[in-house]
Amino acid sequence: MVTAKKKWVPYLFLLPGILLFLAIGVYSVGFSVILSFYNWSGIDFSNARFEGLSNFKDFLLGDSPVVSRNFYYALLHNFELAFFQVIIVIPVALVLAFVLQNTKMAGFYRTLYFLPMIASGIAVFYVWKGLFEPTGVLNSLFATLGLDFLVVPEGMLGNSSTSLIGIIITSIWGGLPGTLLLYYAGLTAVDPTLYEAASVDGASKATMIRKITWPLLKPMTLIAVIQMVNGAFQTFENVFIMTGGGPAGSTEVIGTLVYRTAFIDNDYGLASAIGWTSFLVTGLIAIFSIRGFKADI
Amino acid sequence: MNKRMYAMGILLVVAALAVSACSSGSGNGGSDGGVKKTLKMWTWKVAYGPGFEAAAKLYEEKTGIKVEIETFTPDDTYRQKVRAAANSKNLPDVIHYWATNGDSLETSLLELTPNVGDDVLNSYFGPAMDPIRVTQKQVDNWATNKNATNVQKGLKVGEFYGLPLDIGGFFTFYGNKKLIEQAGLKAEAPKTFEEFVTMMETVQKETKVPGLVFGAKLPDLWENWAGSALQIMLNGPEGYINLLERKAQMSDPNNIKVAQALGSIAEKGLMMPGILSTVIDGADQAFASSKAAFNLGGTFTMSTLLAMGMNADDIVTFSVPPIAGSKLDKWSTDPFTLTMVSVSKDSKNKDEALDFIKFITSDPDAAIAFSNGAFTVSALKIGDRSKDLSPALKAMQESFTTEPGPYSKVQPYIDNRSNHKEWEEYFQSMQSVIEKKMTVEQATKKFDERMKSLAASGN
Repeated sequence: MVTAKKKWVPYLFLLPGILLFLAIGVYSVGFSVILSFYNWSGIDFSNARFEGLSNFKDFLLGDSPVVSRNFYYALLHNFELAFFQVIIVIPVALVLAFVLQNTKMAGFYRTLYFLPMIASGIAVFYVWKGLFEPTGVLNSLFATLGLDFLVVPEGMLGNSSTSLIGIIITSIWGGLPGTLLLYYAGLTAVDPTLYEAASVDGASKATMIRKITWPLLKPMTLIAVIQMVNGAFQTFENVFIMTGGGPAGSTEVIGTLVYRTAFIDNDYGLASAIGWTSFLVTGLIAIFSIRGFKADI
Repeated sequence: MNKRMYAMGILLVVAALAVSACSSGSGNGGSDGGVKKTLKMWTWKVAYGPGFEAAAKLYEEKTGIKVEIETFTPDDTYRQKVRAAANSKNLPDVIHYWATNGDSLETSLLELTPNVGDDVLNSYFGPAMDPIRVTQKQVDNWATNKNATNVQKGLKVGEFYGLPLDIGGFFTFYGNKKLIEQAGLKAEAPKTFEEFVTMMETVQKETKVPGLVFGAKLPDLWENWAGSALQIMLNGPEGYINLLERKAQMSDPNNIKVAQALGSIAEKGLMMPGILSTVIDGADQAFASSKAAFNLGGTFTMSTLLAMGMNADDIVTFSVPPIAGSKLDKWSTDPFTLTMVSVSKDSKNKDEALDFIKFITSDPDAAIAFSNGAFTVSALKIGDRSKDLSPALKAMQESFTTEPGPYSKVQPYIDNRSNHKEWEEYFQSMQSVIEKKMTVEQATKKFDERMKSLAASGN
């Protein structure tokens, strides 16, 4: 029993975690916000120079036209990634969740579908890179099947028209398990008596899905959309490993642009400003998504 | 009571361990009490390991000071590690780094200007200090550039924070001798770029092996390793400087030929498929496994190719050949410094670290041991001691001019190129040219327009 005297004890146990969070989480985030108003090359902050909104103006208002062009291209690519991920992953995950719920080999399929979630990203993206190479499995498969029009001689990632498609494919592959898990949990939670009642009323399977399942899964869909948009705007690993943002900037995303600006060009202030702007964009999309879904739920 | 004492004891042990774990990892802090000194050095070049070890062994024999070498790879990781260590003042005594200046590492390095005399500096190849020593040109650029950092703005002409370790040159094509001969050609250096293109066409036609590979995933690699040499030869160093200084146009008939040279290779389909997703190592691997007949590299590429199992006798090397009608009819390998060694400002063993970097860069025995072990040419002029180098290194070293040549003249302007963002866009445009999605004319026109607009807006 916790007495009034010992009320502080739980807080004492929480203290190390709180301190660690303050030291690592809050400090680094706060420092990054401050940094976005400075010109700093990454060593010894006493050499940083306050620049006000200059970093933001550089890429948002075009004060540095090439930086600005790079930013808007990268942002567009992030939007494309988010869009295709949402419109492809949502229906596919929904169908697979139904299959999982109704199959006898659910355990096997669960393991198969959730593999991308547990596999190490770096290792897997190198494998994907190999698959997309000019002599990789994908081209060989298309050639064998007589689908020559799908063969990309330079490899999917070596051609600026197809490289983003390659990135989208890997993003979908990586994003599927999370959404599938959500839908699977959502489906399991639907009260079976609702279906029984609908069946008594003579509702068809399709009507049941439309009128019962889908409305009940909307909160899950909202979470999935926000998760995927957030993930798409944080895309870095697969692009960095597979294309590095190329060819000709065709796969540049905010993540690789921030990396390049900070760690190659040593412009930590500009990189922070770009990163925070991307965060705000993601936040705005999430707010609009929540509002849109709330009106509907 | 006993329990309390026991707990206190454990706390003391934990505290002692924590304190020892948090202590600086740099060196052992001196030879007081007869303890042998140890210097710590960081590098990112795995291939240089045997060279550093050999030189360190000589240094230990001479002074009794041991040098421990730690390698961190790949390049990006190393850069970040060095910067993070510089921020937390945890750099090792000696840092091996790319030969450069103005990237703010200066705040963490010992300024060598007052510590290294002409006796040492004059022992290096003529242009060896060029990329390391701050130039008037750089100071002028940083003074007017709004994006220049405070560290850059604070640097003075003549300052330097590292000593040149090794020199080399890009601008080298490697050819697969067997494939060239299989195509019925002599494995000889072509005299002009046009002749080289014809050579690649013939080899590709006869052997069905793609003509050329290079790490085209890096947008600026062609310009850095071939394009700049072609441009310097075409219109002389001044012509290229004019382009870099925004005093000339890329689409000018006198300048466009270099872009057309790359365009012609793309147009004829002579590049290895997937070249735009190929990195430097990947290009070397492709060449070593006969997936391309020619490879663009530098003097340092040979060691990689040999390590990949190629036989030196099966390789023909030649400098980038000039475009027909160029002002300079051949490329003289004007070497520049590849890497440097520096001393941490916060090192407890500054004097010894300084002595070691002088030793490894200017002592002939150390330089030769390092060169042979690392398979790279030392920045030191070793004169007739070159006989002690391995035959391939000896040949490479003797091919270098010892005094500044055309590339050295241009280098300060190339260093400033990253501030002229039209180049960044141009490199991407040239990737589109490689893909045949943009013509050379479109790419060069875009460059000129961007250059004009950036100059007009003060960028």
